[in-house]
Order: sequence, then C-alpha cells, then structure tokens
Amino acid sequence: MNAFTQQQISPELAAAIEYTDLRKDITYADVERMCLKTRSIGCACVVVPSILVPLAAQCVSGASFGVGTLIAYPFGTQATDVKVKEVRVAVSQGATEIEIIPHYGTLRAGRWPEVEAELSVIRKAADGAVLKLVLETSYLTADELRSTCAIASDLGYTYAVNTTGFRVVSTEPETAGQADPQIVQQLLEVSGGRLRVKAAGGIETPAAAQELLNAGATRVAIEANNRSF
Amino acid sequence: MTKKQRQKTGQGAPQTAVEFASRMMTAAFSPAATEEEAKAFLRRFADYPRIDAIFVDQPWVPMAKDILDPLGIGVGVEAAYPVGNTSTAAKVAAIKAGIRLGAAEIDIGGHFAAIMSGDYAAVEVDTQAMVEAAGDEIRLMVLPETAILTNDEKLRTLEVYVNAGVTGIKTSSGYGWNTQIEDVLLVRRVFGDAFQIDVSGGVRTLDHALAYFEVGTDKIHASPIFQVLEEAKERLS
Repeated sequence: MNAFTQQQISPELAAAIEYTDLRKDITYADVERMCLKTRSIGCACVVVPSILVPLAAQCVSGASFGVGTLIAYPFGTQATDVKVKEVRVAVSQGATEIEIIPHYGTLRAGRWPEVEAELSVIRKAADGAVLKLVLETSYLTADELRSTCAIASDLGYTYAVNTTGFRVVSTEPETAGQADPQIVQQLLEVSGGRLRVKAAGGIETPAAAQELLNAGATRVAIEANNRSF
Repeated sequence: MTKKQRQKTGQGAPQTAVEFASRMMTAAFSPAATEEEAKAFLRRFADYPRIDAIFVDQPWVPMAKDILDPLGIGVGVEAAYPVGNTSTAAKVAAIKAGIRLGAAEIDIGGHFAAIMSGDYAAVEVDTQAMVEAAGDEIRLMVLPETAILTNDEKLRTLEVYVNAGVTGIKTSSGYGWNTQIEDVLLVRRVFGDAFQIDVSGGVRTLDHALAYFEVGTDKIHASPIFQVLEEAKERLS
C-alpha cells in the first residue's frame, strides 16, 4: 500500500497516469503534494495550470516524469498568437507536455486551413515537447474529429484528448466531458491509429482507468486529489 | 505605469428600459455555439435597445464587430476565464490581442492559485502586468471570484488590485461561482468608488438585476439576456 493511495496501483496503470489538478482553487501545496505522489507511484506526468508550471518543474527536478499544462484552458478561445505565447513561456519554464485547445468555432465552421495554421505554429513553438490535441468530443461530429485528427497527426502531434473535463455551459455542470471506452475507440478509429489517446474526465477508480487502457487509451487523466489512486 | 482615470461608478438603478439595456452584457462563445449560431444570436440585438457589450471568442471579434458596430454595441473578449490560473505572459498577450482586434473590454481571471496560497506578492505581479498591458486602451475587468473567497481574502486581494491600478472588477465568473449581492455591498463599503463593479452569474430576472444596480453595481452580465430585456421593456418606462 502506497502512502498516498488506498489501493495498489499496478506499474502498468501507474505509468499511464497523468496526475492532474486544474481546479481554480489549486494551491502551491497541492502542486508540491501531487509531485511527491507522482514521484512515489511512478506516473507519466503531472498536469497543472500554466501559471504553476515553474513550481511544478522545480518540484519534479531530477525525476523521470514530465510536467504538462493546458494552453487556452478551458475553451481555446484565445487568438493564435496568445496561445503561441503561452506555449513558449510554458516550455521555457519546464513544461514537457503541451495540451492545446483549438478554436472550436473555426473547426466547426470547417475552415481547415486555419485550423492547420494554428496547430502548425503551436507545434513549432512547442520546441519538441509532447503535443496533445484536446477535442471537446461531445460537441464535435465524427467528420470534424476525423479532419482535425488528420491535421494533427500529419503535423506530428502525439495524442488526442477527449475533453478538458471543464463544463462547457456555465449554468450546466453536466456539460463537463467524461471519458468512456467508446470515445477512446472512436478517437483511435478517426485518427487511423496515428494518434495515441489520452482519456480524461471523471475517471474515478483504478478499475475505470484500466477499462480505458483496455479500450486502447495510452494515458489517463486522474484528479490529483483522488484518494483511490 | 500610467495611473488610469477613475471611471464613474455606482450610478444606482436605471430608470428606463433604454438605460437598463445600456448597462447589460452577455456572451456567445464556442464550443457551445457554432459561428452561424453566434451570428444569428448577435443579429437579434438589432431588435432591442442597445446593450453595453457582448463577449465572443477572440477569433470571432471581426465577425462580431461587423454585426455589432452598427448597433453601437461593444465587443468584449475574455482571457484566463473563468479559472484564472493562466500564465501572466499569456494574459498580457490576450490583452494586447484584445486591443489589436478592437475589443472594447477584456475580462480576465486573477491569479487565483496565488490568492489560495496566500501569495499576495504574486497576485500583485500578475495584476500589475495586466494593468500595464491594458493602459487606457481597453476596459480591463479583473475577476477575483469573490463567491469562493473568505472576506479576508476578498479584502486583501482587492487591496492589491487597487494598489496595482485596477479600476474595474467582475466579482465572479458565473461558472457555478455566482456573484452574491453582499459582495457588491462589501466592495462599495470598503473601497467606495475605487472600482467599477460588474457582476455575473445568477442574474436571471429584471428584479435580480435591479437589486444589483440599486446597491452600486455598474454593469451586469446575464445569460438569459433577451428574457431580461423583454421584462425591462414591459416594466420600465
């Protein structure tokens, strides 16, 4: 039994976990604790808001896991140059994994050259960091997913992520995205297996996480304060 | 840093439907809406008294200005919204983008993680950078998210804001963190007219809105905007 967890996590599952804390009321102590927990369990990375990347990078210094952050969290509504700035600064401060939220308005209008242009300059700004494309899948059609994944995989992105897990409609908490085996399989299918899948949103138990890995996910986002892990 | 002109605050409750509308705001954003849905939403405002501003995604600002400029309605943008824990450099870049795009206003989440960690020096650094980037070129509203702060945290945060030159706050974001009327009362009582105060979240009727205006709110962001404007048309002169 690990000091941080109530149950045993298999090394295989541990290696797929991204301990994530994007809560508004995250504290510096939360970041320090999640980094200790990650170090002790052996997870893939921690994921923190971009303003806390320097602290997380300092906490993981010398360890083998990465620091991830999300760009234009949670809705991707910023201008491209704003996203690029956020990427550059995060990478220079020690982020090794970058999750980019595209502009869904442009994507849903089918303006693929614009979608591609944004993902392309972000790839350059990321300077070799692992790139993950977040797709708020409940709001996108299979064709939109397919076209966006094709652009991302051509550009060398590594992962598709099914949601940020943040509510899309301000007054409706139920619009927060959830991971399930079907969406994992769908993302694998629409990307023709050229993108790995990170499953995110409401993954509460090790059994649920394992089920997502069994469905083909490579990574799972687990809330850092989840006591089951 | 240039000291900004204090804007007029606390105008009391509006007397007419036209004045009421001029102090209301709303938003259209993706992924909840497609661009075509957003356009249709914006065009509906031609049939109502002019509201103050409508918030849209930064990539939608040119489209929104095409529709709203002729109606005299401002276009607003947000950054680090509603969470706030975005790097200061990205917030500054967002403000500059807002100015470049011709947005009238930008609403930005404050450094909430620092507030929660008691690191008010970091709050100050983040806030000063935003104020400097905004200058007098855009209405900058900073969000402390009062709905989930203790009174002590609210007052310490606002003290930092006022010293950093912030002239406007939006108390809460509305994403499950709804403004409380007592927060407007608290800010007015302690800080007088130092800030323009906008509120968001939970204002769903004319009576809600009038109560907020009565206690010194400057502008109100309401999601059910047409419903509230219709009510104002019926009940105000």
